Amino acid sequence: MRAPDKTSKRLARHKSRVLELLQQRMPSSQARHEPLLEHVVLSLEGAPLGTQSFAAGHDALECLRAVVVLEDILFEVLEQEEPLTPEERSGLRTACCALRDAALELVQSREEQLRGAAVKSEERYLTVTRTTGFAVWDWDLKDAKLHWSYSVESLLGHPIDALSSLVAWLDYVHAADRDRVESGLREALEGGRSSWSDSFRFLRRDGTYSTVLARGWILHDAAGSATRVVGGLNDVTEQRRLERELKQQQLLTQAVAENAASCLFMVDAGGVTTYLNPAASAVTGYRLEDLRGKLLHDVLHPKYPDGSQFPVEACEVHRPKASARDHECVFLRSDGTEFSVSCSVMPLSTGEVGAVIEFRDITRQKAQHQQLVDAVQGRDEFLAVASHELRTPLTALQLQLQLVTHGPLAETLDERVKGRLGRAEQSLGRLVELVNELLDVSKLRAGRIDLEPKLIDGAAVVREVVQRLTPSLRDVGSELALNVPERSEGHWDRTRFDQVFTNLYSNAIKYGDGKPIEVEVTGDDGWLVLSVRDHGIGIALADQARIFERFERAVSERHYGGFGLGLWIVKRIVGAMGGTIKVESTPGDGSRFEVRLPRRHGVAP
Amino acid sequence: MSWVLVVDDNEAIRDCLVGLLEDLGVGAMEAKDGVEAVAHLRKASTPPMLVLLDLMMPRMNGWQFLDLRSREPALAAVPVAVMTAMKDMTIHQFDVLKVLEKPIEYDTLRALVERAMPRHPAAVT
Repeated sequence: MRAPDKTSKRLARHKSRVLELLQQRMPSSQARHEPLLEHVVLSLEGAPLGTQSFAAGHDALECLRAVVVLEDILFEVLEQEEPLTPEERSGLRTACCALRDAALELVQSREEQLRGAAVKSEERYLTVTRTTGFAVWDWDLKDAKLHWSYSVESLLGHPIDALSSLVAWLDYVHAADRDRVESGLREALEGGRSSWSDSFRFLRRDGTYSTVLARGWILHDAAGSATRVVGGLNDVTEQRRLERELKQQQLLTQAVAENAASCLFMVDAGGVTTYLNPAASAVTGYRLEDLRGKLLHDVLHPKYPDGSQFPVEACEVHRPKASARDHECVFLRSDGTEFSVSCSVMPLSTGEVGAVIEFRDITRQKAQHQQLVDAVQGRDEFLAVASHELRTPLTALQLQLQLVTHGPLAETLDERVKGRLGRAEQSLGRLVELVNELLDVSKLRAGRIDLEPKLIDGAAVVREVVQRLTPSLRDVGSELALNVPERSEGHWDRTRFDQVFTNLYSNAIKYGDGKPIEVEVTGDDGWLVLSVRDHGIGIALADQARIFERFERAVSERHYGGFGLGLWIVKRIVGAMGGTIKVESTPGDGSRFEVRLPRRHGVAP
Repeated sequence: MSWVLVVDDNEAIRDCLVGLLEDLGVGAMEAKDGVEAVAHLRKASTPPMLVLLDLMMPRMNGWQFLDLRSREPALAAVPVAVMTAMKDMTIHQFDVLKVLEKPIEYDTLRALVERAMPRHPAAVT
């Protein structure tokens, strides 16, 4: 019974020497060998052996080898000190055997575990490839065998066997890519690199090509030679197609933006500039470097043209989430000068990724518009002056004629001369009317309508005008039905009231085609309603809004004279008096004009 | 002896107006601007029954004439009818009998002169 005890004691004493020798003989092992020795000692002392803890840090095979080497060392060290008795020798061998059995057991169980894990991972790969298009390969350089995960079948259609060597595999690589792939792989292997990757076309079993991405990790032996390459392969056809499309889209967008005549800015969701096209750069003088990280608003118009602060919250342009169209504002160039623009804001994906701002320099248009406004104003001023200047000689001419026809001289005239002078007076009356129209237009254009409201009887004015135009009515042969109350009072400018009705009534006579005309004055406490109805040629629906415009006439000017200003003037005057005018008409059945005038408007005296 | 003062820088207008007044048997004096008009009024032994006044004239225009008249008591009582080619609201700040818009009708003028005649009761206004 003493012997084993003695052996174990001796081993404990030589512990450091034993471990030193073990380390020398297994230089590549990183594990701690001390637990192995302790197990032998415990085993010699008759303690039961635990199975796991002695193998800490070893892989199973390494552990087994260490146990074998350790056995040799133990005998060597002990025999060297003092020869072992046969009992001692047998005891030590038994202890070592037990340890070796335990190590073997460990190796076996590890292998089983690995096998199970391999099956599991293969299942996992299959599932993964079905959903993501991924296969795993393992190329053993010693036997030149290429192993594939089963997923390659679903990925490329080929059975595993068809791809079981590099040569077979390379056969399926597109001819145009093959040399590159082969030489790339060889260079990686011979150059001692740890990985390789390439993307190429691969012939599928169905005869079409897939674009694949292959990546491999190269394993080396202790001498540095490549022994094995393990890798993955996935189908990136769709990905590459999307990338290509995206690239094309980007190129297209870029080409459009870079060559566009209109100026473009892009801002992110926070209103910071991310892009400007060459047109925008040329117009504003900014480059992207000048704008990077800054709010576009702060660069383009931090202030209103009058110099006051322009808060970013009030800016139509700086709202990546709200669109704006043809918004007019003033931008600053990089040199500090201002220019007018018309700009539109288009939010991208409702502003989450920012907005595109498109603008045009409208300085020239604005100048042209101003020129046009000036020209129109000049014309109106000319009209005003011309019509005014024409009035003086017209007055003289009219008075001279009337001195003859209305004064005592008339009695001395022969009837034929009177007749001629009467015709001359009519033409002159028409001329006066036209000059008055011109003057009205120039006044109305300038927004100067002089109204002198006084309490007057509108019914009386209507009767007066009817009386005055009786000769014209008689000339065309129309019958007049006059439905006017005895009085209808209101605060109106008598001359303008007269002018409005005269215009409508004379139109009815002119365009009434000799058919009956109805004139009616109605209304209530607040309003007077004047209606003039004829049964003549009428006005087409499309023309009904137009007739109130200047120089518009619904009929050919060959048939009817005048400038076509009458209704435009009437509408303006009625508007200035606070009233409204409307027309109802059926072509061929005449028109009905209705004017509604408030009996008191604004601050009438 | 009742007379009318015609003030207008346009000779043709003055000629017509004088002709009309002659037809009506009324004497007339002519002035081609406010300065001449004032001179006539100051020289006359009796004031005219009416002044027919144009507004736009050289040297002294119609508004200046009215302004001067309003500040000279001897002239203030003379009735004035204004003849204008353009409606002008400012004229109402002066004491004027009537505003005639050019072109002026013969009948309107005749009625105005007849009403201004001393035997006509309306002339008092």
